Amino acid sequence: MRVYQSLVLGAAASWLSLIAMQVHAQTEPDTAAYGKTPPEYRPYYRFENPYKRFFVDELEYPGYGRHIPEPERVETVKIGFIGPIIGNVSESVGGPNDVTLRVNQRQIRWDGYRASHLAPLGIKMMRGARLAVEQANARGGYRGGIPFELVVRNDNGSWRSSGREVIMLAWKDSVWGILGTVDGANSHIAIRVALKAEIPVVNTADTDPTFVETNIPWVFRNITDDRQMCYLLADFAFKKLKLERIAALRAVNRYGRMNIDEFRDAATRLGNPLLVELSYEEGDSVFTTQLERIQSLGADGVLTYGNSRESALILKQMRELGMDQWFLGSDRMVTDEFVSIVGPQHGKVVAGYPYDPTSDDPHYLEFVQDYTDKYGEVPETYAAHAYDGMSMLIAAIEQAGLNRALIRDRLAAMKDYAGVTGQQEMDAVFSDRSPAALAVMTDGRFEFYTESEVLSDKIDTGLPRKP
Amino acid sequence: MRGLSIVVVLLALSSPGAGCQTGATPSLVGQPYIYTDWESFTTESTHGDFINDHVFFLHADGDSLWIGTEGGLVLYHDGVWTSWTEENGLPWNVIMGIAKDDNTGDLWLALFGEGIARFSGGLFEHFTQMNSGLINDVSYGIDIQGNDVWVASTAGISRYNQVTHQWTVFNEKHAPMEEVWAYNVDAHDDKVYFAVWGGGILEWDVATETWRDYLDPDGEMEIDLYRDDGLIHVITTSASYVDDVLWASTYFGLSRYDGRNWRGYLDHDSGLPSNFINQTVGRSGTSSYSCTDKGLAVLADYDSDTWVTYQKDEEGDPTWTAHVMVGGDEVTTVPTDLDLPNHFTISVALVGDDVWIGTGHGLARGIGSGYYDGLKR
Repeated sequence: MRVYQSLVLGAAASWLSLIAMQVHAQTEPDTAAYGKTPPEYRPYYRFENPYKRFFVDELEYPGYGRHIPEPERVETVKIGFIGPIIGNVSESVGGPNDVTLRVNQRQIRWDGYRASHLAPLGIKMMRGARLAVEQANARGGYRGGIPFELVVRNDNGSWRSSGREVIMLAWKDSVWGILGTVDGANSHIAIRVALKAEIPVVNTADTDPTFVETNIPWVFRNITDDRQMCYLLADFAFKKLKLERIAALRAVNRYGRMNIDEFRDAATRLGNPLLVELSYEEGDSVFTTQLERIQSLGADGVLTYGNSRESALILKQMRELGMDQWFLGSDRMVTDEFVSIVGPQHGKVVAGYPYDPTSDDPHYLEFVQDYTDKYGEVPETYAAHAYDGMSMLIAAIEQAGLNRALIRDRLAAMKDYAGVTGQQEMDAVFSDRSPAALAVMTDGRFEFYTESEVLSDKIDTGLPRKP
Repeated sequence: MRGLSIVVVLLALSSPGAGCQTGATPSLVGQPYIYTDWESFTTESTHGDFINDHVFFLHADGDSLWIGTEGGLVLYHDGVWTSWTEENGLPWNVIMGIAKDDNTGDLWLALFGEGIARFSGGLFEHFTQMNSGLINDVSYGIDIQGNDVWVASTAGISRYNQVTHQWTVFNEKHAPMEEVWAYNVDAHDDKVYFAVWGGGILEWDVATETWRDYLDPDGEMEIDLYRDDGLIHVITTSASYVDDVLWASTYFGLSRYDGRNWRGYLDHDSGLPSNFINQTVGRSGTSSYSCTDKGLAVLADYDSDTWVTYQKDEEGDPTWTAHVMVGGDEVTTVPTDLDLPNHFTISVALVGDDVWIGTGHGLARGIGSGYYDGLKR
């Protein structure tokens, strides 16, 4: 009798689950997947249909700001910029030295004055943004008469100051919109302030998937994030390379913890959870202990998420230990610094990347030429996306006029944007969902592949090709 | 066998969403109180006495109301407005939180980007991360528990003991904080609750001086797996603890926790006009007031799931309408004379039987003549 009851109860429970799933299926169409998430990478997809899916309906701002009249007269149209641009701050002087870069060095001073290790990225971001402003002014400025002015504030990489800098931009500098910043934590802080201040923020550099998962209707991101890059990396690792035993060694900071998340989940959902997830401190130079542990576990791939210097040193030390596994990583390692450190014995290396920097699109080539002429260097992802983001913001201001809520509305209306980084596809939470690219290292340089090419035979994996 | 059938039926009735599928016309168990008589205040309507229309926080103080705005501090008492700005000593105009110390009579202010301030004897004392133990100057919330002033800031939590002058800070190193971005605080004799952006709800037990965290059990940002499995989302915006019941607002809906069971509310299954909730204040363990971006949602009676939601239905409507709902189903509507131009509500306070709401453009008082709790049957 007990068995019979169990069977009946089990059948009843299954029936109820089925009914519940049918109810959800009626209200939550499959096409509404957030973040273009493939079915196999969706949370709990094998077990349950969620009661509620977020981020599938477009964010609204139903507040009052649209009624605020434009100022009668402005000397300039101010646009805020916040990014890590100061590499070295003198505590005694209290002001910035002109961009002495200290990449990835450990800082020992009180972090209120700590130099940002992200300054090399922030400076490129500022240069891209500034180029867009200067070109807009060369075209005549705001509605052909008033120059745009870039109001620059430093995000020093410390959680203790970036929020206040955004407050100053909003209430003291009275800017009409803000572009920034790079670091995931500081970007989160910035947009929480923007929500209260009711000012649009365009982010062009933070690839943290959770950045837009906050329901703030004032936030826009024009760069493909690590959700997209991790899906592509996971596709390549598990579906193309058929890896099964990947170990992770990542930075212990928020970037390493959060941005690796979608790969970690994808691995689990495909039945190949990470063997181990080890970490290191920014600035570390020796990774032998972690690598020997990974080696002992028989990993067939090593995944890292961190800055280029540490990523390169990990790879170099892997090869020195005789570890010839695939080395997978983030876009932050697709740099000249990485290539320089790893040298010719790099072996099998692949990373996600937010766009194709080898595009021959005329608009992109023109931008590359302009940027190179101005700064004497070729632009990379932070410069290119900032140029696009600032161009979007300027276009929105031109269309909306000097009203923050209306500028927000114009940005929200930009569902597609043809930028120098390619065609951007904004989703319901205003985050670019254009396809990620894959950067594969070949003969000492990175080559870039599209999403469709990744699963084809175009990339030499060292595996037997299909007949 | 008959017992088994009852079990199955009960299971069906208790399954999430089952009530929404019946198609039955909802009916009221009793009549909730509806605020129909309102007074509205804007800078324009008060001829400048109410100095700024962008309200961030309301704090009831006896029969008075303290108002934190984008442009200064305001006190409303018996029809008289008094205000303080940077011109007369306020350290910073943008005020995100207010707390009154009933022991000392001092007023404490969370200054957005400029730390905190104590308003005592007509003077402001300014505390920042440069001159005190405050962990960060971007202050979102402030409250008092005993001798302690608790501050929710963007880099963690600070506690200042007014007797010993000792500061204590809590971040990911000292508390179970998945993220450190504290967003709001509600302090009581036995517990102090924090809404932590990305970190759910943190509970401080005063007696044991220990922390406990409440997170979304499904661990995912983009879904709510089950309706009543726990906190609805980790992006929390406020906590309100009353009658041993915790109300927690998020930008993804509302949660209620009675110490044993959780209940979640979303815009499609409740009287919430939107999941975007700036603040929720519990009136009791069975009634709460939620400020959403599309109006004020009042859960009037928990047991019967009866709501009264105050909204401006159309942009051009001169006044707001009260929607009486059971769960997500509307039963009836009642006109009100509330005429604020926008229903983006940010803060709410209960002053006696009256309710005050602060919006992105103006302030209003619902006059609670003949107010009663729960339902009139």
